[in-house]
Amino acid sequence: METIQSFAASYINDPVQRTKERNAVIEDAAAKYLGKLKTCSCEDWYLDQLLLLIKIMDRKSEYVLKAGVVMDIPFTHEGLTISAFNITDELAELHLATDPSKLRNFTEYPKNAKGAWKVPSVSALEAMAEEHGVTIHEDVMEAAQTNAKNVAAMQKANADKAKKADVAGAKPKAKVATEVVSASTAQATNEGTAEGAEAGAKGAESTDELGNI
Amino acid sequence: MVGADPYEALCNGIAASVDPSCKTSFVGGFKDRLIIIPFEAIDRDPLDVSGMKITQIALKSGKVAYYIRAKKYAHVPTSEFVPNNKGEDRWKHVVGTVIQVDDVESKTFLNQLAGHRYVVIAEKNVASGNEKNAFEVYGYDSGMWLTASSINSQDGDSKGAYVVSLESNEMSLELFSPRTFDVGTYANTQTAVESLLIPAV
Repeated sequence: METIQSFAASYINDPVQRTKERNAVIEDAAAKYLGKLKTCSCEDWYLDQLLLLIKIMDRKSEYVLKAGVVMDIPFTHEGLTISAFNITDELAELHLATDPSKLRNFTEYPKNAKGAWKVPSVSALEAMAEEHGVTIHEDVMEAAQTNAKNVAAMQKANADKAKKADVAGAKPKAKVATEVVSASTAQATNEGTAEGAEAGAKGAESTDELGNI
Repeated sequence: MVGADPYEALCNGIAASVDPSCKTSFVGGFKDRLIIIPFEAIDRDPLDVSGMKITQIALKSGKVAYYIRAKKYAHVPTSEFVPNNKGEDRWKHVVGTVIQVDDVESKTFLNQLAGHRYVVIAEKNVASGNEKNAFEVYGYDSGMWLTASSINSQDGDSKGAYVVSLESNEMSLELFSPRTFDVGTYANTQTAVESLLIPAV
């Protein structure tokens, strides 16, 4: 496909560039990616297949729906349909997060994706809603916000532990010996305090940032 | 695949009444395009069929459907009940059409049709508001084969156009009359039909 990409523009614009070698490359790619064989003597066949191949190269998603599949996303008020014409990674993952059985409708998906779909972040959902002119259902937004809150809570707890560890580490040894040091604080001391400090610094940032899973 | 039996509801006797309305009146005739799907290209799943409705027709990776476009009601999809005194009754699906393009590609298409079985989707004319029932699927269970084709330049009607007929094989007739293809809304079903014509790559 990289070869085709390198000569596609010149092939389309200049008939002189439509050499036998390039036609052979197109014919191979059409058989491999489109399942099409050249059965006619028409010169336009190569150009037609090249345009289809370009469409494939311009594909915007790692998820590929089977031909004929149309899925209705149930979590918008207005209704949003996924098809081969508008699929994006976000739409595919949102649908799979709510109904993993729909994986059967895909012929391709990222290798490490199976079983790991999560509801996208609040900001991703808002961007998706704006792009498609729809309103995300409240339940889905709530799930996204809950995710974001959980992540924020976890990071706050880590930051608190790190602060306590810093305080404990700064006191004279005699005083440390007399204080009760909890198991979690001791653990926080051992773990990277740099991470805790960073989390603490970011703790004040927006929910959207923390919501990115 | 373990799942709902798509045929069970149809085999246990009638379960509802019939009440016509203007919205569901028959109009007659089919639109210009027949979708021809190679039988083996369909990625079948019991969940895709619910009684007399097909809710999804997905194709295997790399497979694609094709179409025949013909003018002036050249497409004539039909079906007939075939009673069986000694066993289960069946239906015969027949799709007649005319290939109206006079070129090498059409000759190639005609000859490639032979020897393989197909499922055909045809969109019929419907009353306004009844668009959900527009798409009919022929040969879904057993496929249809090219059984007749004639080329006669002396014929005043066809003038040499290729008159073809795809039919159910007598040895494997369809279990039911043509089903409705309905993905949920007319718009979604139209989108599904269009996406059948694009290979999934």
